[in-house]
Amino acid sequence: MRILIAEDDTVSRRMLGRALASMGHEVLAAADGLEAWRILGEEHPRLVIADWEMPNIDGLELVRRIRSSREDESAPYVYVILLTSRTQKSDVVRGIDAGADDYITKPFDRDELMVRIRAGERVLALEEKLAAQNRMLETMAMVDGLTNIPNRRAFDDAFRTLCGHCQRFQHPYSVLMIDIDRFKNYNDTLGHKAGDETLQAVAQIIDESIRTSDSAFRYGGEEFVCLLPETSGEGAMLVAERLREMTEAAAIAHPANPPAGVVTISVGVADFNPRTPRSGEEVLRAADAALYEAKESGRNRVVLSHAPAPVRE
Amino acid sequence: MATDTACPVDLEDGLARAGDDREFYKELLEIFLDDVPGRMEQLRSAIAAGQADEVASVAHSIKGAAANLSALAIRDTALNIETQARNENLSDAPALAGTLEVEIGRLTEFLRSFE
Repeated sequence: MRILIAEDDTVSRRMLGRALASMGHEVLAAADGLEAWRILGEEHPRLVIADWEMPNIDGLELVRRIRSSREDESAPYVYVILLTSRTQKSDVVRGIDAGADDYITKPFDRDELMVRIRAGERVLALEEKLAAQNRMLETMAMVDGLTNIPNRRAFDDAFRTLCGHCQRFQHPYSVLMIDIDRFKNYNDTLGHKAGDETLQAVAQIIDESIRTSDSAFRYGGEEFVCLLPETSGEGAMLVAERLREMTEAAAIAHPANPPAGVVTISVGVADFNPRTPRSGEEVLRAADAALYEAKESGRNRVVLSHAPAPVRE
Repeated sequence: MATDTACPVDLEDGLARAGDDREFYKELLEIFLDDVPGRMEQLRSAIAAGQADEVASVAHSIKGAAANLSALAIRDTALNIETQARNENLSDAPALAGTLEVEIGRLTEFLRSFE
């Protein structure tokens, strides 16, 4: 484990360092609270042993800073042990109240240090397990269970971020709205199990055919949506056309979808052009309208939304 | 003084604190003796200036380091200075600082013969 020692006394610092290194830990050392604060930000130790009395920032203040800086719940917890020659109960209470997890009285005893560190390791291991589970839950909440690609919720998040970024920095992006042609008929003729398999297959085709900087989501039912950052409508049309071709080329039988007789998709494309800015909602609506047009004009095709007329002064 | 001939450190205890590593213990003593003249200078000038807070703080740090090394006489004298200074009492401080110098000298002697 990576441990930071914040201790102004050289003898004590060396002794702690040696003792911790002999237990197999990676040791960082700071000679005062300010240096400790800097190292905390750069090296991210999991455990800190801080002397109570130090120049600049004392141990108590260091603990307070560590605790108040952890606004991001996903940041790993830092376990803090205060090192103190203060044995008065009120001091110990103050230290723990400020956010310290434990304390060791000086001069420290090696065996005691060892068990205190082990106790800290146990707490950190539990904390890590909890964090991993939280991450997993977070991921599960963002991934569509059937197709294993990000879901509508993930789209809403990603789209909000992308819109905000592109509007602020005047960058283009495009949206592809994708629908499997006559999917209801597919389900009706071949059953829901086949329908699910087709949704999985199409999701995989889309996910594998877009570029690494693009992202694909299951929007709902048989609808998918792709976000293409830094891409104009013309560029997006190339990507959309590739998706359409790849889907048709997969040749998944779909008797109720003439004339192809295989599973096909229709795609509506809309872009955000910083020279004629519009809201994310408008871009989505435009992509939806383009998808509708693709359906109306015969399906298995890609339609680019009509760009709005440039604003004239 | 009764402790004149005694060893300036509790060797068994000090070695245990250093993980029973004589070389390391010796190194720690050297670090301490390298550091301590600067601190004695701070202590002397704080006493001369009548800054009790500063006297207590410097004595505290000497005490802490000495305790880690089980240099008991130095530890106790520094503690004595610290305790009195915390009570705004510096009347014994010059004499106690003198005692501290003597004890530091004995520790230096001890280190010379320590293998």
